[in-house]
Amino acid sequence: MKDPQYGWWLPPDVSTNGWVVDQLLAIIHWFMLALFVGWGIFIIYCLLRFRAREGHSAVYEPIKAAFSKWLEVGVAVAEGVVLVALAMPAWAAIKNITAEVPENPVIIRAVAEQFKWLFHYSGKDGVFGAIGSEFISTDSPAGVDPDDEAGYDDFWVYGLHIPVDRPVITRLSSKDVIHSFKIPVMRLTQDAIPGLEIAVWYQATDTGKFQVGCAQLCGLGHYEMKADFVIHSPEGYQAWLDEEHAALGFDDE
Amino acid sequence: MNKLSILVVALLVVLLPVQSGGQAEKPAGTATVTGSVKFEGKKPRIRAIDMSGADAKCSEAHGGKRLKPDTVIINKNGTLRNAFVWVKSGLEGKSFPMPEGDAMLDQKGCTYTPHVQGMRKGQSLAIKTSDPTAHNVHGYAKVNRSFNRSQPAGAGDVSIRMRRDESSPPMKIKCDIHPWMNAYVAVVDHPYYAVTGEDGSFTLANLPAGTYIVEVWHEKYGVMEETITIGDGEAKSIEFTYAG
Amino acid sequence: MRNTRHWGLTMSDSHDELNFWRKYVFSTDHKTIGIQYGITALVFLFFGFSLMMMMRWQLAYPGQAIPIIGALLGDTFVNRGAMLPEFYNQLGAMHGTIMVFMGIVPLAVGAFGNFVVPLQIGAADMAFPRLNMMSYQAFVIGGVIMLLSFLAPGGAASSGWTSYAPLSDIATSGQTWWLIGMIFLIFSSLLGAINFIVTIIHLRAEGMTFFRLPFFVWSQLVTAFLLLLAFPALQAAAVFQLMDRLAGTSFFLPSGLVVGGEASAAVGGGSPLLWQHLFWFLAHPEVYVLILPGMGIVAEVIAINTRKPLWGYRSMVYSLVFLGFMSFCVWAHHMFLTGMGTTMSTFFQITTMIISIPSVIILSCLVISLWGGSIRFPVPMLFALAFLPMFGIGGLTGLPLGLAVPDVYLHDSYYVIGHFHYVVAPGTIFAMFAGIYHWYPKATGRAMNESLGKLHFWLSFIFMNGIFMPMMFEGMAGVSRRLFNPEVYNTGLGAHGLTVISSWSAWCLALSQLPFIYNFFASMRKKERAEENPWQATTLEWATPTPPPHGNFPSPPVVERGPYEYSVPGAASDFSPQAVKQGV
Repeated sequence: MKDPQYGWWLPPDVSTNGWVVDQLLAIIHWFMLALFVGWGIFIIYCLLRFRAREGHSAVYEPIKAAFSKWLEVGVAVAEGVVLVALAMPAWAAIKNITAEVPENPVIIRAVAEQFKWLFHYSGKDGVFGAIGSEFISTDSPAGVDPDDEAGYDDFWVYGLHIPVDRPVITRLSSKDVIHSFKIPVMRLTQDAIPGLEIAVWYQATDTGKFQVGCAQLCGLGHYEMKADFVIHSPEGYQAWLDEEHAALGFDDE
Repeated sequence: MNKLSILVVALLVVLLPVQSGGQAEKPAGTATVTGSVKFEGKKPRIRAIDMSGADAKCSEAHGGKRLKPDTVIINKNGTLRNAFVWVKSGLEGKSFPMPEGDAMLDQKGCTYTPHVQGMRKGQSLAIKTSDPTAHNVHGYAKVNRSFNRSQPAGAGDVSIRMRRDESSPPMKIKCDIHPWMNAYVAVVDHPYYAVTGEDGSFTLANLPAGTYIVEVWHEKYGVMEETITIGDGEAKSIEFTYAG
Repeated sequence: MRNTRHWGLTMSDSHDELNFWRKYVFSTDHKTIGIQYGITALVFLFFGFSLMMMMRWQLAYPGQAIPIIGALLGDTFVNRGAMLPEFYNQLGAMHGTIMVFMGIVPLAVGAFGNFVVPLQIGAADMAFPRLNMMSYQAFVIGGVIMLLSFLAPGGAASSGWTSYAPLSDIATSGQTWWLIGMIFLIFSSLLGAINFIVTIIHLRAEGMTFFRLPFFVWSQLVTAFLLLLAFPALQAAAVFQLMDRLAGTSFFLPSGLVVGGEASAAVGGGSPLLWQHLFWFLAHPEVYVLILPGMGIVAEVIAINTRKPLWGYRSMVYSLVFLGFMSFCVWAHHMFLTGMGTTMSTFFQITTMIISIPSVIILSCLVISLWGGSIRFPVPMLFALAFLPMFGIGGLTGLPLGLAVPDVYLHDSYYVIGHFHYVVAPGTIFAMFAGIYHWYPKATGRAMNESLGKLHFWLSFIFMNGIFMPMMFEGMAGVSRRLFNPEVYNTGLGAHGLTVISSWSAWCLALSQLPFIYNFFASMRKKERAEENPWQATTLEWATPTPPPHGNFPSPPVVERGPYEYSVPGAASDFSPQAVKQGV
């Protein structure tokens, strides 16, 4: 069913970094609109004032050479300044997003395959089992060594669950083709590339249930490559972890 | 009686014996091999699947509960379910009547039913969907031609004709949209095959007398084989044991 | 007088009686080849557009049987008349491939370049007429292979027009056909590019200095260099991928791939990103291949219909050359999200911002050229004028995509689709229409109907925007591209109304082309001949008989002045042709 939060413009933003993206989008679009409207008015004015009609003829050189040169230089400089001025805050923003090392993060592996995301949690011990593509099997879709004790309490689920107000590092990898990890409400997209592991981090500011998608064509089921994205309260997250641990059913061994 | 009726009766007289002959065809033999597939050792850690994060329509079919996968199911009597047993050699050059209809594979609750099955070479596999969500049936064939077809909710059956033997190992069929879904189909050119069920037993009946290699295959534990010589009317038993 | 010898040769040729096959099918005459290119490319364009109309049905009415066509397609394409996702992906990949490589490039370069360039520079033909014919034939072979690939088991290529590895490496056999088709298409473009460069540099008429070349010729020259230097990268990549698929190499396959739960048999050690680098090294210059000839046509049409010189002709030329050069330095802005480091992304953001400057200068010059004119509004001028704001939207929306931070949100969304379609569809295709209406009287000796042309223009203008403007909003709403059914996502469900607007606009756009198609064929049969120089233009193509004979000019023209000498003070008429006296 249609969710009123999603319409014809930006979806809600529940991330700490999202405002940077939204602000830049707003600035750039206002700038674009101003340029477009400015040029538009100029064009329409020209078309009306200089339309061919009785008693009107074209002027060979309506703008003097010296003036034209200055105007050309002016256009170039203005463009350069405006664009560089826009690009600068962008770099700063990029630095903020990637360079800052978050403290006390939740680390989750996201393993992409045709056509689902699998989220691998390290379980109670907080340590991932040994990982390798040679361990991937029906029983171990995340590629955890079944003989590694550190991996006994690992679990993997098809929905992404995170706690609110705590940085989350997601280590992205892909088993087969290129996928792209996209969470619109986090203003986040990052390709998952086979053979590479790429980390992204983000932090949620509100709880709720959203979606993770795949933004890179990955085959005939690409459109179905979605996963639930659940942001829990800290207590809710702990309860969810406990429930997942209990569901493993390995404790009685 | 007009001429047409006479013609019809005449045709019936000619055709009927052929028909009845077909139905009353004698079995190819009278020997029987029975047995069971046992499992000893440590049970593997198999995690239950929570489908809810991937596709709510799948988990709703199971009342929101987690589902144990069909990969390794150890029966109460210590036998292994979903092992495929077949006569690997000894029947070369013989031909056997074809069963009527198609082999069926159903997609229900985002799992395949049956998980393992055998079918005859030349038969078609009709893949059906009973789910309110989209699937794709991806046959990772090594001998037959691979296929990969979408099957949206409410779509008609996908029918694939298997033209070659492919039973060691059987062909894997997978839904890539729901990566936990997989099934195995063995294509054999004779009717002597079986899949172990809830009691882990199998029966290969009506075998002609001869010496055979009987093979068992399990998706996780691989293959084992046993040679057996059997005469007309005899019944012999084989026991396979997998160690975990 | 370096081209006198060439003149002598072709002029004697022109007296030979050519049979039907030599004249129309295996012709070496640049005008015939240009027209062959034009008609073939228009047919491919219409075919590519039809593919998209089917996709638009699935997007607007997901899972519902496609009217009429659904019943005709086999069960590997549709299920009970409703499109299957694998078919949707094939349509998407082939729509892109056909429009770019078999539609716009052959139309812009093969058709307009071939037909107009030798006439505008005062040459008798292209420098290598046989190469020219071969280029067309390679294009047709490549095109036919592409179309036939729909019949391959598993259908046509389905990994997008970008064919990203490893998806394309493991795709069905349609991808092999795609690669072979691409190799022919690239071969065709390379032959054409060499020919254009040599022709423009060596066969200019006496007095036709570089700064007397019409802007259109400049745009073709720069385009030819782009094709020549960029396409080999894709040619190599296509051969690599073909070897990955057929010979078991692993150029684009990393180690440890697990496909469908089973370890891949490939040896590994390759890089999926290598494909992207090679592909975009071609494909970004390719964007300029698509747009520069369009700008050239628009410049011609604007100068003629404002009855005054182009404003800032020289800076436009310098910008054009700079643009061509810079287009080789920006390719990785398509790859910001592949995990590239800050240094790399900073470099490509800067180059991307720099490359926007020459585009802005060219566009500004065209707009300022309107000032002080005496503007006429024939159909080609309407299309040329519409090009300005449409290309403007396309260019401006490139800004947020060229900056890494907004790109993090907008990458691979409908915003990207809206952006590049504004550049190519209402941008380049409008320029192409301007060119068709403008040079039609030259090619056929008949004028196209103005009223039908205006109808065609206004309907196309409305519906083009109706298709692509909603996509910008869809992108902002967070809908990803290439989704068979965007309604699987909340974002797609929320923006579904926009999809419906786009779809209906697309179908209406198709209907809007009917006046054009009728006009195009019916005008050919008109009894009444068009004037020799219906637009009162100065450039050389209007100084020959219409349609131009084999060999183009009765005697070699001698050029005396620049290309845009309109409303020269003291001149007898408001246009002073480039060549007044004919050489001997």
